Amino acid sequence: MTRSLRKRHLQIWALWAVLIPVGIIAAWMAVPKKVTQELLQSEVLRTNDDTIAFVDKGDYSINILLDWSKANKIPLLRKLYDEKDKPEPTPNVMDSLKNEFSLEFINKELNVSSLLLYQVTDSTTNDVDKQELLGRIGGRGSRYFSLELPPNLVLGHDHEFVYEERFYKAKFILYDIIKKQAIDSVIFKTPL
Amino acid sequence: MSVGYAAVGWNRQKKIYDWLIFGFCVLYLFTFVGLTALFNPDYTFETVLIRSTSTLAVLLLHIILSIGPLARLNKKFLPLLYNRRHLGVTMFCIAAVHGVFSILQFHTLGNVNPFVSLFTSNTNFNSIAGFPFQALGFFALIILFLMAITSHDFWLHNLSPKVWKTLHMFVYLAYLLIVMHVMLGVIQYETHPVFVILVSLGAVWLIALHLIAGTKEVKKDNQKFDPAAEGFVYVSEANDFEEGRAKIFCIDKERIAVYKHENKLYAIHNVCKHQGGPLGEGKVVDGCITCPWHGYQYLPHNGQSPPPFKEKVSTYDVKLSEGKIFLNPKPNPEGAPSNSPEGGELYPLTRKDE
Repeated sequence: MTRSLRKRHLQIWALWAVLIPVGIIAAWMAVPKKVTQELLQSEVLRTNDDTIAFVDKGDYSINILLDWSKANKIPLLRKLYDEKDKPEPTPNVMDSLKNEFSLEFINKELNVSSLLLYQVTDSTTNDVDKQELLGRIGGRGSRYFSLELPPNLVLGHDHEFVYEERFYKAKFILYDIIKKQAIDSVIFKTPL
Repeated sequence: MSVGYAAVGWNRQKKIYDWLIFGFCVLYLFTFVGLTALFNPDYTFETVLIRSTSTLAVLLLHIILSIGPLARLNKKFLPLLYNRRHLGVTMFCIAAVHGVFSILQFHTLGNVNPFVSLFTSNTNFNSIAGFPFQALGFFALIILFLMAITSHDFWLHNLSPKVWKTLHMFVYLAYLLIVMHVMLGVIQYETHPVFVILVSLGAVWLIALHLIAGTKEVKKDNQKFDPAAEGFVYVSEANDFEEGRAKIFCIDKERIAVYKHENKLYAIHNVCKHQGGPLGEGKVVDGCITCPWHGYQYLPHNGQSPPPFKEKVSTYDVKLSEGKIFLNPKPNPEGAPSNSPEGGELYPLTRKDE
C-alpha cells in the first residue's frame, strides 16, 4: 500500500468513527415508543357519570354509566313507585331518562379488530341482525356508546318484600364480523 | 502469477479457503433456520431466508473488513488476506439473495415496477424512524456488485490499479450504508437491545482496528532519518538482517524494502505492482523477492519480474560502511538496476563487516 493510500484509509475511518456512532444513536433514539397498555382516556373525563353496573372480563370491561346530574329524577321515579297502584313508570319519566344512560367499553387486551357491540332488544332470538347495533370496538382504549333506547329499565316491583327493588337489566353481545360468531355476551341485572 | 488470465488460479490454499467459507455459510444458515423454527415457528420461509442471508452477509462483511488491519497488526493473519476476494464475492452473493427476496416480498405484489416501488413507496426523507432504509441497502448492494464483478486481476490491469483501488475502497461507503440500513430498518421494530448492541459492537471493533493499524503505519511513515553525505541516509545496522528477509524503511514518503540475499543487500520499492502488497514482508524464493500477498516476484538486482512476466518496481542504491547501512532514497527507474558495478549492491556484506 502506498503512503497516500494509507493516509486515505485512516482519514476515512476517522470520519466513520464520528459518523457511524452518530447514526446509530440517532436511529436508536428515533425508535417509536412501545404502545402502553394503559387506558387512553382517564376516568376523570366522565365526572358527571356514575357507574351503576359493571363487569370485568379481564380482556375488557363494561361499565353502564348514568349521568346522575341529569337523572335526579330517579328519586322521583322511586317516589312514583311508592304508589303501588302505579307499578310501571310514566312515559314522560322514561323519556327523560332515555339519554342519560351510556355504556363504557374498555378494551384492555382484545386483539380482534372486527368486533361489533350489540344490545339485545329482542330476547326471543339469538340473531344479531334483530338486535340493536351500538357500535364497533377498535383497538385498545375506551369507547362510549350512547344507549339511545331505554336500556330495559325494568323497575322491578316485588311486592313480597319490604323494599321495592328497581334494577337495571340489559344484555349485550360481542360479535366478530369476520368469523360471523358471537364471542361473548354480558348480562346486567343490578339494583339502581 | 500466470501469463494468461484464468477464472480462478486454483491451488491447495484456495481450495481449503473456499471450502471453509462454504462450510461456515452452510452451518450458519442451518443454525439460523433451526433456531428460528424453534423460537418463532410462525415466521414464513421468505422471512427466514431474508433474515438469515442478511445477518450472514453483515457478519461476513465484518470479517472481510477486519482482515486488512489484522494482517497489518499481526502477520499470522496474512493467510486470510491472500484470498480475501473469495470472501468478498461470497458475501455479495449472499447479500444479493437477501436483496432479491426482499424486493420480491415487499415490492412485487402491486402493479408498480418493483424497482420503481423500491424508491417511491416510501419518501419520508424527513423522518428518521420512517426513513426509506431499503434504498440504502440497494445502493450498498450496487457497490458490492461492482466490486464483485471486478474482483479478478483482469479488471485490475484493464481499469488501472488506481481506478481499481478507488472502486474497491467504496466498500467503506457500502459498510456505512449497510449500518444505517440495519439501524433505520429492522432495528426500528425489533426493539430488543441485543440487536443494537451487536451492530454497535461490530462498528466499534472495525473502527478501533482500522484506527489502531492506521496510526501504527503513520508512525512508521513519520520516522525521521538523519541526512548523510552524497544523498545517502543511515537506516540500520548491518547485523540486524536475516537471510532472505527484509526490513522496511520509510524515507521521503515512500517505503523501501532492503533485502539480504546471499550475503548481499538489495533495496527495492516496497509496493508490489499487483495489488500494492508489502514486498518487504515477503521473502526471497528461488532467487526472487516474493510478495506475501499473491506471490508476485521480482529480481532483487533490477526490480524486474522474471520472464515472461513484465511487472517492474524501482530499485534503490544501498551501501554498507563501517557496519552501517546507508540508503539513497532517490529511486532508480523501474526495472533499472541500481547504480553499482555489481548490479544491486555497492558493498557486499562480509563476515569482517558484520
